[in-house]
Amino acid sequence: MTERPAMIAYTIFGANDLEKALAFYDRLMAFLGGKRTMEFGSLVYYGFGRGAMFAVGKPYDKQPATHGNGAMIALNVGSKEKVHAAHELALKLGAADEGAPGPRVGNGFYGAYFRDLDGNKLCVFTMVKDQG
Amino acid sequence: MIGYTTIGAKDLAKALGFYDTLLAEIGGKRVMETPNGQLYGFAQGPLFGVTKPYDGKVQNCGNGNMIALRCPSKEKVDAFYAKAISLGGSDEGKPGDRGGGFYGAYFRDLDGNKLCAFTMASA
Repeated sequence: MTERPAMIAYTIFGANDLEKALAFYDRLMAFLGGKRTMEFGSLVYYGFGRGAMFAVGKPYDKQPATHGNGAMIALNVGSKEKVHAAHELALKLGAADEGAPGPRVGNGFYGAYFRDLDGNKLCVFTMVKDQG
Repeated sequence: MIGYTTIGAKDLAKALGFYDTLLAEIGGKRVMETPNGQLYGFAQGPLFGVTKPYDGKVQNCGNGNMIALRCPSKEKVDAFYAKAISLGGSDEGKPGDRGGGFYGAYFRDLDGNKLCAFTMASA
């Protein structure tokens, strides 16, 4: 067995209405170049061809899904234009705005924030040299 | 692609103490300080963030959320899980085969955030 270095391989966000959540993520992830790669029980995984997978599913303990506070998944989408378009698409699909696209922190980080239909927080961002 | 993830912490100093030691077990280390927390990096893949909530309100881990770390071997999964428990993490599923070559262990950190350590075993 080849030993590969450790890494975050996947993340899971909980969903209460899985069908609605998947309709949301099918559209959003497709826009970002992601697609469904695996399904286990209620868990549906989206892959991007590299890096970690993003999964959505019902909680393992059968209790209602709740979003965390402090918990977030950030997707590097490659360009400012894509940040704007992904944020806009998410809101169109029913996401709640948590921060309009713009420079943050001051180190070239350009991002936008929103919550999915279950309140899970996401960020779409890109690193730019010139924020002009 | 996923660039980074964050989980919330109520007591950031305590949480960072936990993750400094735990993530070092699998080669993770601090790579960037953020306004409210810290990002850890590995040799590859997304960064792992630990942070106070942005809104200044009480941290919550959520139900249904999890971050899964792929480890290089079963031994590393066992060691990583044992380290987490020894640091005050709570058990959510002991190391073992979960089917399909997936060998994993589950635990929660000091703030209740759920993590999985796993490896894909051949045969």
